Amino acid sequence: MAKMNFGGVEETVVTREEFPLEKARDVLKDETIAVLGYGVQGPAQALNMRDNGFRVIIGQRKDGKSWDKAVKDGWVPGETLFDVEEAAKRGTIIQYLVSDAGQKALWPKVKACLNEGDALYFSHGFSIVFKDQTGVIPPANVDVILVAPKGSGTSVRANFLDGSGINSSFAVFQNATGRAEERTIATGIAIGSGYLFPTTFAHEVHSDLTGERGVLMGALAGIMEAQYQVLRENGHTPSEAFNETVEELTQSLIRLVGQNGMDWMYANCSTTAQRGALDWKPRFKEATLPVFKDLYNSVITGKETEIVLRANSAPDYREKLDAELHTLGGSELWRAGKTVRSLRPENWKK
Amino acid sequence: MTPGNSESGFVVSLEKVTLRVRDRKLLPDTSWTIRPGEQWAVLGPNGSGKSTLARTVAGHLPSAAGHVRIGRGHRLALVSFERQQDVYARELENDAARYFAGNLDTELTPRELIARDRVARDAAGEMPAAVAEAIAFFRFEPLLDRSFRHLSAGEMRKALVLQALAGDPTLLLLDEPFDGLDRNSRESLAAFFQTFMERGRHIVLVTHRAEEILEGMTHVLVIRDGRAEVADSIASAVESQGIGRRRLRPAGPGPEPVVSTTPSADRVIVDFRNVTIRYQDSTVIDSLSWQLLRGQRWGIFGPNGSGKTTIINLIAGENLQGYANDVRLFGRRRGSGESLWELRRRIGVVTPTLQMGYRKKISALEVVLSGFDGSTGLYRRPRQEEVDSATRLVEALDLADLSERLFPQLSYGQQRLFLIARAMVRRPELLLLDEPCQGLDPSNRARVIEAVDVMAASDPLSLIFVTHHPDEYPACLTNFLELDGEGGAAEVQAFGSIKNPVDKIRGVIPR
Repeated sequence: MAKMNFGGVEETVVTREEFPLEKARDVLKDETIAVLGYGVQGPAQALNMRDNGFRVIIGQRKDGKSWDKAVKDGWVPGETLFDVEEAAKRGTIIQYLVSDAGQKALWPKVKACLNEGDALYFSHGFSIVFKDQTGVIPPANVDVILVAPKGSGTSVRANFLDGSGINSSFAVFQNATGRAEERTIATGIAIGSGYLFPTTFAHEVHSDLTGERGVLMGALAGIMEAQYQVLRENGHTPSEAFNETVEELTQSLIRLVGQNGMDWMYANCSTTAQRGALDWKPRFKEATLPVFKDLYNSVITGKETEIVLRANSAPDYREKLDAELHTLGGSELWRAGKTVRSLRPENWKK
Repeated sequence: MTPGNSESGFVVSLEKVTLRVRDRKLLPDTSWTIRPGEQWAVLGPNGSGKSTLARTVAGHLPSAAGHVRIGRGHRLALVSFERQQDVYARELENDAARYFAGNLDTELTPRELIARDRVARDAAGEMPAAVAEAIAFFRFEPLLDRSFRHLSAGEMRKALVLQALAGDPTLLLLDEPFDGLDRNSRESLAAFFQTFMERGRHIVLVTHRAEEILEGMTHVLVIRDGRAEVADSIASAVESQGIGRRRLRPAGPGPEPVVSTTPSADRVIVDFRNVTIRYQDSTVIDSLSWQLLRGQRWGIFGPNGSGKTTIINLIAGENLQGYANDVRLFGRRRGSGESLWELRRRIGVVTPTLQMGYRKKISALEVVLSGFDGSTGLYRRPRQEEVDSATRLVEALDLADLSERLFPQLSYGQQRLFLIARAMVRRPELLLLDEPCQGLDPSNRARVIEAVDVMAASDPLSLIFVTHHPDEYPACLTNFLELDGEGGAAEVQAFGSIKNPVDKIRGVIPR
């Protein structure tokens, strides 16, 4: 593994130069990879592995849209496409790629199909880390491994076809065969990873849940609403408030941050913006730090998981959720956004 | 050319207009007036500014100087490959949202495409009369709710024409409307445009094929040497297309391969055994058994939607149904453990879809270099001998002066030439060219055809060449496959040589 310096901290990464496709094929030459679930991550990873020359089969409930899509994608019923249990029995590496809720529900069936020496593969640590709540407790005689691509199913597939690849983290939770790590890395390369960095099941799920509740979605939407409200209360129009809160961020600034980093943004913006942003950054940090600490605590104690599982199993779950989403979508902020987007130059005359 | 407006008014008037594409200025001080009753063709080579002119007239691009005026009561609409590419690219972008949300069955349909441009007064949901008539004319009704992306080239073009009509235009700007279409589609579109003109509406037809000028056209604008000039007559304009053509290099030896693949010994390169491909309700290929032997160079022809591109994609590994059929390449069955990358290193491909999807901000030379791995974009530092090899190829194709430019900023025809170089750079064992001359002017068409012939002469090259235009076939072709549009296929002696369907042997080709 190559050592890389991340801002002064040394970490190890596995690149496809040091672990090429040929090596991955050699490691997995006797394996049949069963992908359970043909929803979002499933197709991308399965198609990439097949195009990379691995033996792949699909396990999917019959007579649904996902089954039809699998047939359209060239999987042949009875040869490479089976129901979930049949595929789980036939596979030696079982990729459990149904939703978190689906994993909990299907587990007793899947567990019964595992053979000694199989590898049970996840792309998310949720079911295993919160096993007390999900009931997903693998038998001791199988490897339990994880590869988590850092992108949506579409980018996993599109990057593969372009020839670039996606970054993934990998982890071994249980090494029953003594080959768990090389199986993990080989599968990571097989699904089209450009490089892989090590993590643990717990770190993967804790950072993931914190991220989506925090900066990626929860915090972002929250501070957008706060700023928008203040601008509106002081007489700014919806279009102006939206432009200064969301549109400039998504249409130009965040791309520059992506290319060059936030430090570069600070170094290269106007002096007016620079002075203010430098002064106000600590105050936002101070204000949100306790919230993030609460959040992280709620994640690692399993409280967040408990909330999710309880909400999902409530009989009126769908109606309550729809009402919440309706409030969000019906808010002035996001309705204003719809109009602002329609005014973007690329949406003229189209 | 008469600047200004006559008393009879005008449809469009350009007064000393200079076009601009990013920081480049084109066709300085162009004055051009289209008067009521006039029907114009615009002729000129690739990269001369034809499409930019059309986009500027349509109001999609600002001009660098001068005024573009639209006559009172006139409305313009543009049909172009760029619009098609935009729609297609948006569909690709929307895939990200569809996958994210798990709504895979919400692809854009022609009906929705048309609705986007509907004029306000028809907001009730009715198709505008002009669109309804055109739908009837093209017999398009059954296609309205199909997925746009899965339409054939001809159907896609008609969908774009329908969309343009939704704004009830008095002038249709058509930028290469016939490109990539089979004869039936070309004739049906041409007939429609003819009717459109006869009803007192106007057409500006941008083309690099003088033979596409429609009956009833009255004027020709010729773009040559950075200037737009009104031709004295249509005949003189057509004749002038031969002049100013770049002289081709003598057919010397092709570019030397530095990084060459070692051709393997297997004689049968492509082996289709009883291959059947269905899309939705139609069977595109019906139990086709067919072989391509090393050194054979096949021309494949047949109407739009008859499976030509499907055959190309099955071989290139781009059609996922290849895994559900008995398709053998280089002696190995698909799905038996070979990787897509091994195929991509042995096969060079150019298809219209590749060009639509190749949207990377890299230089044209880097696009050629991406041919060594068959990647879209460049993800490793190329070796020096690869750079030398690519540079030599680009020089041999007379493209050196464009090779440092960013690929997305090249004209459609120029992009096409670089993609052909990308397919050739590795000296592949098998070259797949699907409509390679689409979008190319006569001199560039000749350049491509000659390059293929040169490569074939110096290499044991195997080739599949798909086109609707028999005049585009390179001389090196050895075999012809005709697809009948109903799933059947037959080997024939030459393009269109078998007229009588009784002679065709459905599906199986004896050898």
